[in-house]
Amino acid sequence: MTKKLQLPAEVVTLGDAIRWLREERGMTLRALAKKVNVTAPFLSDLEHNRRNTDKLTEIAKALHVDVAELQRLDGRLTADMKDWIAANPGIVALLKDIRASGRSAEELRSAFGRKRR
Amino acid sequence: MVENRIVAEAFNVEAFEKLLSKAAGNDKTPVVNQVRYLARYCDRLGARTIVCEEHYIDRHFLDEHALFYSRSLQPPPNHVRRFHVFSREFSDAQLSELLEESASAAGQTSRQICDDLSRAYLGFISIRPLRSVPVGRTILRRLEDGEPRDIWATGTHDVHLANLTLTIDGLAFQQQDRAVGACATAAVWSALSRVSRHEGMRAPTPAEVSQAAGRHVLPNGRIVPAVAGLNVQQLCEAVRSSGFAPEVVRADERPEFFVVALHTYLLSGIPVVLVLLGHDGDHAVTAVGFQSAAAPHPLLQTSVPVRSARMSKIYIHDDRLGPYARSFLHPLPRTDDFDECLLLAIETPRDAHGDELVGNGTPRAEDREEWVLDSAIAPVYPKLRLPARSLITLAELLGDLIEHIVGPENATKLGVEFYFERSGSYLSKLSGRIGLGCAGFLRRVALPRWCGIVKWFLDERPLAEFVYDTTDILRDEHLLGAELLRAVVCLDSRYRGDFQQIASIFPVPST
Repeated sequence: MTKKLQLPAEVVTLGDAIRWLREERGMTLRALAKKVNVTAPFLSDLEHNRRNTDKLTEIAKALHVDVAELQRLDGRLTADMKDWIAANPGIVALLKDIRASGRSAEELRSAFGRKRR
Repeated sequence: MVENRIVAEAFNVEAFEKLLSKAAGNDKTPVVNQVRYLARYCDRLGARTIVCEEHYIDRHFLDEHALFYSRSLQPPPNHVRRFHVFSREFSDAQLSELLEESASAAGQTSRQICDDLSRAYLGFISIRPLRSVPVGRTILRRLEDGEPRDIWATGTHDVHLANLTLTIDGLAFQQQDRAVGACATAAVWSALSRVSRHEGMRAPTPAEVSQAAGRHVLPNGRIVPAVAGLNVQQLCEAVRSSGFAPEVVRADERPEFFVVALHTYLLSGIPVVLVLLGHDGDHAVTAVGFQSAAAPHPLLQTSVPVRSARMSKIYIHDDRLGPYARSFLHPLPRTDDFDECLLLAIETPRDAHGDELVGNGTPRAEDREEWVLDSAIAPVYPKLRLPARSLITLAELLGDLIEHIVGPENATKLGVEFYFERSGSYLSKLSGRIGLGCAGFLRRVALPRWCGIVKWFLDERPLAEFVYDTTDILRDEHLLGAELLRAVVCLDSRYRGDFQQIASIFPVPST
């Protein structure tokens, strides 16, 4: 069963969240690596935000959290996202406007009237 | 006629500060920071009495003198004044009594007198006859912070004062003179003084370090006067010339591995030269010891539960301040603008009077000077070829097995640390730790001069040590380090059978 993710303030990135959740659940890095079928050094790199992964679903399942909650924290651009941006140059202009507006992701979400997932 | 004069007097911070300055021929210009630091440091060590030797030939200064000062138009004297510091009160007359008592006593009693006095001996400070850069070779006792797990890469020194032989545990410090040596010279000289003595070799002098550093490359121009400082390549050359191998670890590749290496070498009693990058130029200091925090820092964790992730405070010899200065390790995460890096915040004086030069309690953020750690250079015995990085891999290879042995309920309590030790010393330290029935193990085990140890813990309790050959490198990870594993030492009787079973697979001797 998945739970709504409640993270402390110092947990900001995907790597922070995976480490925090793993430790919260009393799981060693090796135990989680084994569950999601990756090597311990790879998982360590993931916790250091040095790598992307396509194993987020498996990690979320092993940590009993909603995968969308982890995806929300994944600030790094995956290859398919990069391709999508490259194919849509207007997106870059939009992102520049957003940055210039100085508004946070949270403010933008509420401006769009969308409920945070 | 050359004559020494040994005088004892009561210790007083201000008076000592002035005495040190005056000894350097400086009674007009302000007291230099290093002298202030040393006076306050001695005070915090509990100094009560100082004994001044007026005429002491220090071979380290003598070499500096020969290389540089003797060829000046107005050369200073070639000797130093040496100040011995004691935590025991005694008068000048009582010092005479001690010397006489020791001279007239039989060997055993004379040794007893020296041992008694050594317990109160806090070390010595050499003052060169150089007004602005007076602090020469100085060895002081380290100041404990009063918190657990202080680790120090220091060594024991015999010090001769008249007919007394005193002992002190510390690491040599001296101030750069900007003529023969720069900050990097002082840093590498400190580190080499420890490892040379440990290997039974003569420690190089600062002049020898400088000359070795500039033998082949001069990227910043001339070595003497030492205005430009040394780069990493030159530091490596100085280490190599002294008969050691420079093990260089970069901090910008994987900060957590850099910290593991630093932790490992300090734990092995090997001081490490740290190259620092700052706003106004580079700097070099010698890491002498460290202290660990209660909890690991997330950014310093690796794929195995390394205890080095708790390393928070590093004690350094900083020639701008003094010996055993405190610094704090701050790992910074990667951001959009910067790669991940390690900051070293060095505790600095709070005001012009230098009241907090030694540090007291937790300093304020503004009392720290931040540097980016660039690299570390550990002078290691040349046949110690296995780097600290490989010990992490070796632990990683057996990690699953160790977790399996202790079971999932204990797996999160595991910790691991690495160190190198001379095998003779390692085996002798096993006494009292491995119990009866170890004769068979001791007769079978074959170790090189330096062995690499992967030590596992369950919480704070030692669990087992895997002892590796360091004269080769790790080549084939599929063999789980079998080609290097030489012994398995179980330190927790509850798991003896499991570790003996592992040892029998490789197969290596075990306890």
